[in-house]
Amino acid sequence: MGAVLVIAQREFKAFLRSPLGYALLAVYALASGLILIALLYVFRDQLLRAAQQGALAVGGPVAPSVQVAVVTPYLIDVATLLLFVLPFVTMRAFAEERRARSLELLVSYPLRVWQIVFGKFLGVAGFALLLLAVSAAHLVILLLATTPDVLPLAGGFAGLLLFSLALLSVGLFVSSLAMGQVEAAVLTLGLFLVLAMGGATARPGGSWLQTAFINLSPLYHYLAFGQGLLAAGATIFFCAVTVLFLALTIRGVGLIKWRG
Amino acid sequence: MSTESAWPAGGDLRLLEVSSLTKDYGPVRAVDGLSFEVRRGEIVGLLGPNGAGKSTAMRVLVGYQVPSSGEVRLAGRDVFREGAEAKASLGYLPENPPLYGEMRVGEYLIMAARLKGLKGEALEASVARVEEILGLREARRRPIAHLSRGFRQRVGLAQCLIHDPALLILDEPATGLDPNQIADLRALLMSWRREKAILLSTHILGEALMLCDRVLVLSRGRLVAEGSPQALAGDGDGRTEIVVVVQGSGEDPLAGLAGLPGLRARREEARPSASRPAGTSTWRLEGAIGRDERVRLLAHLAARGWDLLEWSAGLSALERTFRRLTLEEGSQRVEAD
Repeated sequence: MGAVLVIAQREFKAFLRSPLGYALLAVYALASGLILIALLYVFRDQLLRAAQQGALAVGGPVAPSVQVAVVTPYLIDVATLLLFVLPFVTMRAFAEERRARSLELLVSYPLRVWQIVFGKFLGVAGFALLLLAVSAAHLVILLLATTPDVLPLAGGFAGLLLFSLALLSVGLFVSSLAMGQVEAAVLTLGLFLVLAMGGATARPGGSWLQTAFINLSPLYHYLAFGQGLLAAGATIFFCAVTVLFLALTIRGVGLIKWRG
Repeated sequence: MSTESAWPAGGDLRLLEVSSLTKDYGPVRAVDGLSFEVRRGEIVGLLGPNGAGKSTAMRVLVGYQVPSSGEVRLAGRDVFREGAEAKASLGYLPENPPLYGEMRVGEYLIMAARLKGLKGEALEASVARVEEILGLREARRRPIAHLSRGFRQRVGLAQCLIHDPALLILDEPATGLDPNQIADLRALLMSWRREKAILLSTHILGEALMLCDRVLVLSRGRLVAEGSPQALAGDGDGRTEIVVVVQGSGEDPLAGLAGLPGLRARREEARPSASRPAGTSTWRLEGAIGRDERVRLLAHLAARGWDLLEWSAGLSALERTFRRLTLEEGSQRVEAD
């Protein structure tokens, strides 16, 4: 396990020492912050309208809920944002090491391929946690300033974490196959968008292709988390995707040994 | 893993065994049936022109690429079936070492040591040892990206040595070094000769002649010659070449030299310089020049009043052998002791 942590530490620190890491943090913080502000404005307008209609009085119409108006859309929007950001987190992991030939040196060390893959995974997951810390701060502000239900909010955040780990494992797999980091980012982003768009346009009960798109769409699976529901199916889906793609990444690095 | 575990148990001196190694890239055969051994106490040079398959062979030897067929054993262990255990005995320096530029030198060496299984005091002692050997102490806080090429090469060597491996595989270790650094590197390699097995690839023939106990010549992925560099230098047609710089009166210092049949002398044009004043001439002598012929040649020059200013031998002969082996189509494998 020691070697895994050493590789993870190197991978994580590489983000903090590169302009890319700060650029990703800045883009994520700015975009997620704007999403939150926009949702809060909408929520304020809803509250004002409700107040005008007397909804805040006892026995009046139902008042808008912060969970429905802010927390759920925030979590789903942030999950969508992650579809665009995470490919840039994983793109370097293997593709850049391979281009720079540092993977050649790493493979000559007394390590097993799974140790390298897990180390890389923990490193990129550490950076993704840093991104999610921004969202955690947003949710803490919501908790302090409004009265959302704590459990759905915490569940939604935990779902965001599982969602990110699954996407990171897919991104690592693509990076292990790609010849360069730009190729890795474009392929990963393309794959995420196809799955997300396919899932969004498909309708349940449609053709087998539509059903397949829905079942493969990470955003579709995340919806349950975002709505504050206990999402056992989605948890299993994200965990299965993570394990499957980490195993495929180990095979992908093995393929580098064949292809050179 | 302790430092000692980098050394294979038992008394087997064969630290690298390569059997019938072949590597294909689609229809292109980059390495073709390569077999050799490297034993402790040996420096073996892998020679060959660019594209001969040296780097591909080295990548297979260190387990980065899987061979199409054949076997590689490091310290008695199969590098593909028992990779982690086999590589515990290995220190590898790729050409133009690919280091993590954003890391500081000391931090990088600590990372390499931890990845190679060192911990605690053994780790600190190993880092201090390689910093001392390679003169990196002053540079330990500098980011690798800011280092000169020579220093980067030293960091590459340091990571290679950090766990005191029994086997070193070095791909073009002198690339990018200045003459002083090359001399330092050669001195280091010579100092490790007795205790380690070293395989180094180079296309600097002088380096092979100076350092290696044995050379393997690769051409188009095939091993076309194996033997000591001195033997290979005089191999094939039995002819060697020496270059002499002499000073004296007269046109031809070799005129009247009897008893050296088949010796061909060719005068080389050279501009006078501080080290070669007027009256000196450079001669390239080619033929079957053994010990007796050299003694006779020296006696002849002295008897005719010629001063011998410089004498160099062997390198050009190795070059000729190298060119013959690597340029000729379908050259036969040569073994020379």
